Amino acid sequence: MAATENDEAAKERTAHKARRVLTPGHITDEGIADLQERLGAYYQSGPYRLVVTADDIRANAVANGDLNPLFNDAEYAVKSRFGSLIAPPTYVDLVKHYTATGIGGLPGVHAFHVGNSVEFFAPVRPGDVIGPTYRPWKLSEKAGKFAGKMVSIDCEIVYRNQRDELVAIAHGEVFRVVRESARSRGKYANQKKEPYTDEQLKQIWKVAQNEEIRGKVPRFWEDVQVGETLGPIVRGPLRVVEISFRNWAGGGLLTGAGGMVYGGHFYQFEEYLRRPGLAEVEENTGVMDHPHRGHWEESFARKIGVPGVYDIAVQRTAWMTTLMTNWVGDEGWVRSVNSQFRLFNVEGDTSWVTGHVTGKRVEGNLHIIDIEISCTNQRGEVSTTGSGSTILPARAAGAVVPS
Amino acid sequence: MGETINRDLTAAAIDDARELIGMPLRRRPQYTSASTESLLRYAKAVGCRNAIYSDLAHGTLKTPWAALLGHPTSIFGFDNTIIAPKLPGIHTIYGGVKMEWFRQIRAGDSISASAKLTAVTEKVGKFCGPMVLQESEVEYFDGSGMPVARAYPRILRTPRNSAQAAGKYAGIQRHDYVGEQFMAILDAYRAEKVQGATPRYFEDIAVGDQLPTVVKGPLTTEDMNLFVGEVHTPYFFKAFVDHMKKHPADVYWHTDLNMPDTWDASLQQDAVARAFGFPLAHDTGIQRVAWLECMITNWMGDLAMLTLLDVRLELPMLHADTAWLLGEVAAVSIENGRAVAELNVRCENQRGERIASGMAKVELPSRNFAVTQPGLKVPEWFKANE
Repeated sequence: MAATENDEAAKERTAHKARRVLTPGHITDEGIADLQERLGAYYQSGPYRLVVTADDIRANAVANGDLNPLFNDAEYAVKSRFGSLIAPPTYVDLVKHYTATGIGGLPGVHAFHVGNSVEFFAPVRPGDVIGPTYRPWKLSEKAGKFAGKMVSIDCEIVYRNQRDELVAIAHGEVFRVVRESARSRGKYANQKKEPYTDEQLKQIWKVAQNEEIRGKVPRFWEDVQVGETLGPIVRGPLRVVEISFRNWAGGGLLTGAGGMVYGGHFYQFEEYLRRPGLAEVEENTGVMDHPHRGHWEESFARKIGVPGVYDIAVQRTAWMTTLMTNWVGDEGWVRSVNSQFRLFNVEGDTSWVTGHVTGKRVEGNLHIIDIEISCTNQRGEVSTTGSGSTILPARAAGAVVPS
Repeated sequence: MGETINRDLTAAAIDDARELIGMPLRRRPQYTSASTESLLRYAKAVGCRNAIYSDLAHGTLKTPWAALLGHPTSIFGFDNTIIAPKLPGIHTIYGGVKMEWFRQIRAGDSISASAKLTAVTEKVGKFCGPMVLQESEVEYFDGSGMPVARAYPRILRTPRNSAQAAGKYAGIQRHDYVGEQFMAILDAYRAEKVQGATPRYFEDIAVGDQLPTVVKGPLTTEDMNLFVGEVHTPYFFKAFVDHMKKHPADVYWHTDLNMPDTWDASLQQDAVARAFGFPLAHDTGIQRVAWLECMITNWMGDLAMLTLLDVRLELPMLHADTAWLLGEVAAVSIENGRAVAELNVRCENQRGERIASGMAKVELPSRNFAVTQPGLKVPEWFKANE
């Protein structure tokens, strides 16, 4: 080994020993200024996925708990107005995750995905290649109940397909939070695991097994009433495998949040060593593991102040979109979904996703229904607020629905 | 309250399992086609350092296969060979598998598999009393029905006896890598050799040659996420409710939440792993087969082809354990005009315990013009250059 390689190895040994002690990052003025300078600039254009395959479409649908035949059954979908299997609209979250953690900055400062809004312009089919651009959009300082001083970062992702057609636009908002202060502020300090009663479970299973997918029968815009309700659909009680293998069952070079996948074994360690502050050493093994393992490992979740393994925000956006794709039927189109994540869902939590129609309007030849959507857990808490808009077929002449 | 169902091995249950022998089994493959992406993902998941599986340009333009190749064990994406039907409430231990390959897996291949149980045999195990061995055969075909590979998995079924297991495993913790241990592993990664584009000629190898050691580990939760995603889909939400109602003994009940869950949670959660007879969250078993394949394919070079790998798993591999993959050339011969190396391979953990062992056969390129190139199918009437 050359002299410089010996020095490098020695430095790594020292750095590794130092990392056995948990050292949280800090939100500094310099760190914020550095991030401010990145706004509007394109970062990391390029997808996490290559060609869309039928396998990956079906896997994504299955992992969302979405059994819509448009996304699962090619024989059925070929006969629909789309002429092929299509992906759930939120498939794009696998091409590029909605959050801004990819711009880096503020090392050791954790990131929580707090909200997003996504607009859908064209379907995604097997054989398509989706290419994203990604840039940070807006930055602001905030103070919250959960964790003291925080920085909020909004980013914009534009997805196009291989015909350069606009497929979707997403905006994702992330809060950057110092880990130690997250734990000590204890928003969730009193939350305990409560066992379900057998009656509660039966109720949940009944809603799950009766989930309605409208399918072939058109829902005409004229027939919809303001105040009309959607769902509920139910997702839970949430199991760790439904979180950690959600992205993987969707396939792809993505797990956890923020697209931070380097690969198995050597590739992880190489990346963690290359970027100090990215991953902490597990105290009981002396080995680094994924910085987002709060999504599948309870001890790490608790370390950062969350009372259990917590779900991935894009899952919830997908569930809220499923509420709408179930409702609009094969002839309708989900135009947009917006989500604000107020509370974590942890292992064991159940979400009832419900909606109601808040508006009916016409824009040119698009007949639009606006919907307010929320997710409520088994404690009666609203974990997610949000909305969406849909385009329905109409009896009126000239009505258009995107396909 | 939901209760996890543990059952005994009864004659009736074993007879019921035998009824399935020979019948096509309903399986849940991850993939129906080997896309460029799925093959690259698999390569990433096993921490592959070999360009032929991880670099699109290399395989396509610099090898006679003229394509991105899939790892031979990427075939697990089409059937993961974890075949343990019937015997509800009885623990499943992956015992090992014999795998044969008839051609390379390439990006763009459609592959489907059909699986059937071939034998159900009662045994008495050294460590766990009465057991049943379930043996199966999986055939993998391409889009035109031509065989790609075959696998013969061996699965052990034993009563869970979780209380007993809890006693046996009390105090077992994740390995703590103190001092230089983790650095030694990083050094081994940096030293990992891949034969790659330089052919390893049959004439240049000898019985007793050691294969360069490969390390995979310490096993992290992220490694599990990546690999499991390529070979297994859990039941999600409604699909889980449907499955649970049909197969209540497949369900693990979390006592703190009174929440049902499945065996695959033991790949990530210690409490579930203990209920299914392991001390801690653990690997899938087939990962060790995949890693042994990595060691062999690292050694054999771009022109060679792996035709047989037969692995027996001996001890569990737990989270934070490290697998050291070792092998040597056991025999060399010309078989039917092909140059074949037979290898003995094994896997040892960080405590020096052997956790897997087996053998493999590799066709190698030869400078001798009379030898047929690895993997090349020739018509019967073909005569090689003399």
